[in-house]
Amino acid sequence: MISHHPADTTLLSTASGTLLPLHREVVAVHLARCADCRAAVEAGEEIGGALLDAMPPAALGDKALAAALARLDEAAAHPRASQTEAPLDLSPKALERLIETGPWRAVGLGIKLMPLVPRDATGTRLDLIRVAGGTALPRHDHTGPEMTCVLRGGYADATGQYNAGDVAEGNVGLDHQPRALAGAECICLIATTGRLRAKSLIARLLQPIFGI
Amino acid sequence: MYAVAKLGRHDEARGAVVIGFPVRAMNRPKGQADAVDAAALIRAIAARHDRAAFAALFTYYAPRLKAYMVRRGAAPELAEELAQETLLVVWRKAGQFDAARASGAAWIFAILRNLHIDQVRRMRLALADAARTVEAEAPPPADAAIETARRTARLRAALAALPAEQAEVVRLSFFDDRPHAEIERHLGIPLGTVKSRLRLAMARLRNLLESDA
Repeated sequence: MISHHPADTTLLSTASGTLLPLHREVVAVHLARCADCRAAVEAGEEIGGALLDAMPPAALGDKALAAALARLDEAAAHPRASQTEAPLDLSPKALERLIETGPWRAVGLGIKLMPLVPRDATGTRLDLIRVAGGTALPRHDHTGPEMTCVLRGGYADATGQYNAGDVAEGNVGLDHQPRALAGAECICLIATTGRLRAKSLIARLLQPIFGI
Repeated sequence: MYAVAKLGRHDEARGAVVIGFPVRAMNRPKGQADAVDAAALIRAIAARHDRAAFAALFTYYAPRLKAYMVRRGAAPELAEELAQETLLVVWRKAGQFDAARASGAAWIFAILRNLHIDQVRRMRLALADAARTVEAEAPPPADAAIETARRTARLRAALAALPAEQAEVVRLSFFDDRPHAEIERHLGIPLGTVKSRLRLAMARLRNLLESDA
């Protein structure tokens, strides 16, 4: 059962489009499993629609409508190439496939990592991480926000216990040592902005391997 | 049961909202044309590739989509291009519009948002995101469309009734890429105050919708 949801303000910025893109991807994975939060985002989109209706109209170029009308048939006949490109697919099925067949990298201490998107212009990266049951990550803190969605198993840190479907939002300065619950391994999708700062010697040794 | 019912769930200060004064910021300025029936126009496009319906939708929404993007900080040419692209997507995907799930304005807004995210990241995540959300859903019952229209009307009334300071942080959270930090700077109020106002606004919207049901 899901017990940790994104904050209302996070759901609102998911609707408005102002959430960091890779954090948004993590929230989307939660949304696929949580009807309540989907409903909240849809409500946020209604706010967006109301704002749109309330905007004082901007002047358009003289031929704007004519240009758009001229493109209707073209658009219908030739879908833009961009729409046929394969996106990064994080649907539940695709995630299962990634977990089973993706390029996991062992980084030591019972921890495996699968980088999905390298650090983007906002300093955010997206990774899958898988940790053996009962294993703790090295204690670290964060120079930027972090968004985590648990896909399998569960983990606990000082902020609470997180199970499959739960979202954990870490703020700048979060200092924690997540530990996978005993038993099954824990797999999470994590968007990390900024850097992790290891708090122990062993973690500092591991840091180059993590690269985060 | 209403979509907004969940907003404010995590708000510790719920109940502390003062019932009261309307805010003009959310209202349409006088002398402006009435909103078009976006849902009907989109359905006309879906049913019969109705170009007149497209023209009506374009005439109403393209200037507002552009204004929204300019307000978000986009250059005017880019904003106009996004407005045009948005309406072309409306034309192509009109058949996917479901009046039981969203108002026409909200659907158009979501298309603009996804195109903008797409453009900013130069990746194709947004369309997949939209497709995923749509495909994951079972179709709601037919009378849900009426309920959605009522819900939209209630939401808009609730928005218009927000205290000015709360309405302002909600609006600004749509206009700034780094909402809280930007809002803090823009309004000259501390970040904690911005967040608590947002939470209050969300709680109030939820309360209004529940008491309205």
